[in-house]
Amino acid sequence: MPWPQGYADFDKTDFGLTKVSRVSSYRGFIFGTMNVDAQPLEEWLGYARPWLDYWIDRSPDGEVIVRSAAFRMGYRGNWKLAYDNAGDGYHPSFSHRSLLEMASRMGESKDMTYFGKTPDDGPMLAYSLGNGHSVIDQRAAHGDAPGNFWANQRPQPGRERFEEQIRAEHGEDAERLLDLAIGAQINLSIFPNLLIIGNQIQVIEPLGVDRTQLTWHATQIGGVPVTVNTLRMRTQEDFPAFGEPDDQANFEEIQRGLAAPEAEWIFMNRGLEVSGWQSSDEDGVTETAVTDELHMRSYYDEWQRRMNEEAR
Amino acid sequence: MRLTRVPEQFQDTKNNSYHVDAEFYDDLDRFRELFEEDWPHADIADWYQATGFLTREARLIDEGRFNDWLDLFAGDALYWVPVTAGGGEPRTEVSHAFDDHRRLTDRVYWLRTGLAYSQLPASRTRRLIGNVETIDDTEGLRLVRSSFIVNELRAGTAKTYTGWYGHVLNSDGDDWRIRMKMVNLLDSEQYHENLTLVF
Repeated sequence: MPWPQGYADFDKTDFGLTKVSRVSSYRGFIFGTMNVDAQPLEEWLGYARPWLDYWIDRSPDGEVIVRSAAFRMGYRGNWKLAYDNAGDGYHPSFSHRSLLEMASRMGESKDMTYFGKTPDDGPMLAYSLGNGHSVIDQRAAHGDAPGNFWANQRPQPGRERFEEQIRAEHGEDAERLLDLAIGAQINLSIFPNLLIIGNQIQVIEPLGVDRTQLTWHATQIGGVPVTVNTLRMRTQEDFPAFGEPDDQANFEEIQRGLAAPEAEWIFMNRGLEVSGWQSSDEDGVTETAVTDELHMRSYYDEWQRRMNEEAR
Repeated sequence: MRLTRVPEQFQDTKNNSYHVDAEFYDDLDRFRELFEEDWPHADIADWYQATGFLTREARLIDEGRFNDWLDLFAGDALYWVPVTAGGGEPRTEVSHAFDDHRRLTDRVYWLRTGLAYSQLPASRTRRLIGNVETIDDTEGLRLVRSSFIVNELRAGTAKTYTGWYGHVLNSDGDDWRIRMKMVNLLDSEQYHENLTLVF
C-alpha cells in the first residue's frame, strides 16, 4: 500500500479477501460455504449422496474427468428458474417441442419422447430428498436391459462407425460400453447451485436478481476406450444446442412476466394433494410422479428457512 | 473415411454418419495445422472465387435461406464452432456445434420447426467478411481463411460476434462444396446468451 502514513488508523488485516470458512470435498466434488455453522458435508448431502454415488460409479474405475472446455450459458432471469427446471418432468413435452419435432425427422425417436406420453403415470419417478435436494429418475423409461440407453439416444456424429468398431472389439461387453456414452438418465439437483444432468455437471451462478450464468461441464470417464469418450462428447453437445436454449428463452419470458405487478404469484401446485401420487418412507424421502412440482415446493421451503435464519 | 468407401446402406449422409471415424478426426488436425501456417499471396482468380463463395454463403444465412445454405455443404461436411479457441481436442472436448451432415440437417430442420422458443422471433443477422486468404492443399482441397463480424438482433437485443472462419472447400464441377466450416469466436469459451444463431 503506497504511503500508509496517510491513514491515521489502518489495520491491513481488516481488508483481506473474504475467506470461504468451510471447505469439504466428497469423492472429488469440492464444496465451500461462508456459513461457519453449516452442517458437515455428508450430512448435508444426506439422501442425495447415494444418487451422486450412482452417477460417479457409472464410471468403471470411479473416475470422472472434467477437462473439456465448458459451456458458459447465461440468461436474463433469476437463478431459481434454472433450479425449478432441473427437477421438473412436466415441461419437456411443451418446452422441447422443437427438439422432439426435429428428432422425428428420421422417423420414430425414443429419446425424451417418453415425457410426452402420460408422464403422470410413470414409470419415471421423482424424489424429494430433503435439504432442498431432489432427483428425477428417467431410467425406468428405458427398461433394464444393457444397451437400452444407447438404443434410445438420438444419433450422434460418428455413431454408426464407432458402434461397429466398439462391437467388433468388445463383443458382449459392447452394450455396457455404449450405454456409458449416453447420459445417466437422472437429474440430480443439489441445493442450491449444483445440478447433475445426464453426464454434465452444471453450476448455477446468480449474477444479479435477473441474470444468471449456468456453466455446463462436460465429463469423460476413466476405464473405457477413447472411442466411448468421443461419442460421449458428441452426445453432450445435443441438448445444449437444441434443448437448453428453449428452456432459457422460457426463463427470460417468465422473468418478464414476473415483473408485472398485477400478477404476483406463480402457480406451482401440480401434484399437491392429488391422491395416490406421493408416498414417503420412514426417512422422509418422498416419491412422486415426475410431473409433480414437489421439487419446487421442497426447495422453496429450504430456501425460505435459510433466508429467515439470522446472518452472522 | 472417404464417402466413396462408405457402404451403400450408409451413403445417405443426411441420415447416417458412418464416415465420421478416426480418419475424419485426423483430417481436422491436418486442416487446423494448415490454417496455422503463413500462406503465399493467392492468385487473383482464386482469391476472387473464394471471396465470392464466402459472400454468397453469408447472404444465404443473413436472409434466413437455411435450406439453400445446407445445400452448400458436402456429404462429409463439418460445421464446427469450438468452445476452445482454435478447436481444442474434439475427441475429448465438447463444441458449441460439431455438426456432421446429419446434425447440420437437424439444425436447419430445428430452426424451421417454428417451435424453438430461442428462435421466436428469429435472429436477424448481417455479417461482414474480410481479410480473405486462400490456398490449395496437396489433395486439391481449397482452404479459405477470413475474419468476420456478425451483427445479430433478436427480440430487441443487439449483439456482435467477432472471429475468424476456416473454410475447407471441395471442388464440385464448376462450383464448390463446404467440407469444413470452422467458426472461431473471439470469446468462444466465455459467457454467452442464446447462441442459437447460425455463424
